[in-house]
Amino acid sequence: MNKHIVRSLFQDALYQVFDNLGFRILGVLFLLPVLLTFLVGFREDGMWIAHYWHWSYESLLASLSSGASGDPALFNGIRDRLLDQMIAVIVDWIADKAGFVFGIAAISFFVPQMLEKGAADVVFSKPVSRLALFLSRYIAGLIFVGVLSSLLVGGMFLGFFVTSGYRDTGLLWSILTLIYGFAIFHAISCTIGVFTKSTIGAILLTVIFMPVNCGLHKSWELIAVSRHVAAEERERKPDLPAKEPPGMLLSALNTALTAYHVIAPKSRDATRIAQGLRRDIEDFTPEFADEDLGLSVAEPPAGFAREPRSSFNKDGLVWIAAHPDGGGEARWTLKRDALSALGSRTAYVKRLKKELAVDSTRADISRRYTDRFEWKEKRGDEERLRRKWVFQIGDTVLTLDYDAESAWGARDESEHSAQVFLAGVQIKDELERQAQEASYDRYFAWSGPWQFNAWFSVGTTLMFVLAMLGLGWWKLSRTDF
Amino acid sequence: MKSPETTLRVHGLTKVYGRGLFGAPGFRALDSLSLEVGRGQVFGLLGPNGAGKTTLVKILLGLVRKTEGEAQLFGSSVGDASVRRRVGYLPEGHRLPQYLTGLQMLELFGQMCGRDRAFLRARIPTLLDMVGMRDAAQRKIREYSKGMTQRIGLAQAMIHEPELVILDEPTDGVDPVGRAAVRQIVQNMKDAGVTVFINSHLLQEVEMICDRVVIMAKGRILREGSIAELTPRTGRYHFELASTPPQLARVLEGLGANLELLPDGFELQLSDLELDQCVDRLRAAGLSIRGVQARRLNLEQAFIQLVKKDAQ
Repeated sequence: MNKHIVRSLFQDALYQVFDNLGFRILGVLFLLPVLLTFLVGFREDGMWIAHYWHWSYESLLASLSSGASGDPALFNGIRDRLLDQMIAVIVDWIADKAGFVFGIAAISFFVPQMLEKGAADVVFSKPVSRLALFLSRYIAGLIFVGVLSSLLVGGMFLGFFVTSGYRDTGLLWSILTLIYGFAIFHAISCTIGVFTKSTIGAILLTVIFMPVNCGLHKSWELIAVSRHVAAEERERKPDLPAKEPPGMLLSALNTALTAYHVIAPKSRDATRIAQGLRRDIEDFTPEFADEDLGLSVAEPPAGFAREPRSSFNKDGLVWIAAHPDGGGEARWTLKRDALSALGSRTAYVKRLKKELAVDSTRADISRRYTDRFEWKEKRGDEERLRRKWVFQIGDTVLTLDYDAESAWGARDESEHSAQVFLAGVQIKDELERQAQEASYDRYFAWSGPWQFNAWFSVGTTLMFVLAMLGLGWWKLSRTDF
Repeated sequence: MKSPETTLRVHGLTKVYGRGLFGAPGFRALDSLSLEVGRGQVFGLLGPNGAGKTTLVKILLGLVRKTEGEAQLFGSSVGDASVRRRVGYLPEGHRLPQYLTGLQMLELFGQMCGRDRAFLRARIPTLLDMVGMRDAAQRKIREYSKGMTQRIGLAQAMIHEPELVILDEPTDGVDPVGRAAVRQIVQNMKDAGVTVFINSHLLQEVEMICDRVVIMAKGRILREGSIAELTPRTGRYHFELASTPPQLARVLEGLGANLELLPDGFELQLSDLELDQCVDRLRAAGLSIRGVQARRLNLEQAFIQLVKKDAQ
């Protein structure tokens, strides 16, 4: 096959894609969120429209909730959370799910139309192998989704960067993972197209395959995770009595599901891989995390550095900043106490109220009920601004303490820094933690046992795609027109 | 032994469609067919529906797999895709890619046949003029009429300057002016040394264009030869006379059979001996003979006769 033939097949694929009505409709639909990202900006200070109209998040929430204002800490990091949510909804759901179905519907005719009487005579009488012609139709589908996902993801990336000042290069991985996910279903659609020579058949069977495949994998994942968790537990507690082996039917079902999982394309993993790649690119490691409590601190308070000798499990983690005008320092301390040592959280709070002679206000941290104290304290000639937050996780009471020179602590930038820091304190709900611990997502990684291995997933999926295309080619090479 | 001048050669070619389970016999579309077409010929393939003409053409183009026998183009097996670079094909009832313009289609198909852009840039305008499609070349094929589709289809069959052009019903849907143009194109190709293989139901056209013709039925060749060989004399003669006197029938009395008087003379069924006697009688009666022409069957008549005979 010479270069002219290769070029002609590629050009043909491009012409076919750009002339496609489904492609144009999806192009317009995908342009809408992209335009939105250029028009509406989410910045630290609020929402902007067309760089002209501005609303702070506080005023937006107040107008949405009939004048009620929320906890100021709620608005810290809100921009990133909003944008993350937007990306998740548009890329991981709309493009990945609805976009795939619509895309398959739009291009499933590529192969059957080529095989129609009259069309096949023209195309297959050319000095081009049937395999090359078949693959050119497959590649046309990949171009279809490649252009659209580049438009959507690349456009949103640019829009977020230009209008919101948000730059998440990991988002660009979604272009590849969207193509990867679509490549699986398109291979199936092409092969069904060869066998049935029917567009409707190709669409229907592919669209039916999507949820069936997803459901079977999900069932297998549940079994694999529960087995893995049980194995881990037995490793921790060797004295646990051995469970009775499952019956023959269950065992056969399990074997069938495992065989299916190994052979069939793991389309569900595409989103996991995209999210994993995004996390890797973001290189997000929190400033501090305690797995047992499910507590994490995203970043240190701005301008503060962690005291290296401080320990969360002893006297508490300490972050210190020197006073900008010299002399004195400010510090944040995060400390834990056993509930049993304090009696109860309410008893502790009552004691604090009495000791400090101030009332507490409610200022929840990470949706967890939190008492907040604020008072002034004389230390020599200096007046100090003191704040304390008290909250509870399980049988542990946590105290976050702020101590700064009064005037410095009350400055706008200091207040802002404090709010950002507090918004970064995250507590995972117990149920959420349990669910995550027992979820496939928790174990899914680039390294690890084959059941949860991303390389295994990608490798076997690509083999499935190749096998599908091979099957399509085999049938095509035996077809008389 | 194949001749170096042979463009197409099939030997013992058999195609059986839809062989059933456990070796049940299927439909035999071609039955040990053997045929050779020389370079530079215009070759006509005729036959009733189901004769196997299209199957033969499709095997030659790799569209259908043969069951048995040998099929070669330019001395190479038809299974070799590269040999198709030397072949152009206009299928019957073809459906060209609707998402392309005529121009795009010619460029792409030209490249698919291994031609570079420089060659195609020079070739396409000439070809568009030849088929009368220059003005419509920028329009999408889906907007073309049937005649236009046929003409652009003819252009795509010739885009890469093939040495063999296979035309399946080339004038289907084309108006009389267009048909004359197609005939001229075929003549031009013949003059350029291109072998043209025509499969058509329009026997008059085949008679006008083809050097050699094969008549097929039930997957076999019934007759093969030049137009003259396929259209035998009927034994009937047309006499053109300077004048036709009223006593002409009396002059010819007892001679031949089926006399038909015409304004310029007459037609009569005669044996070779009777032909001389007829001339003698006319001369003896003082009638001036302007011309004598032996009547032949036309291709359509010969075809129908042959096919009917085969059916019996």
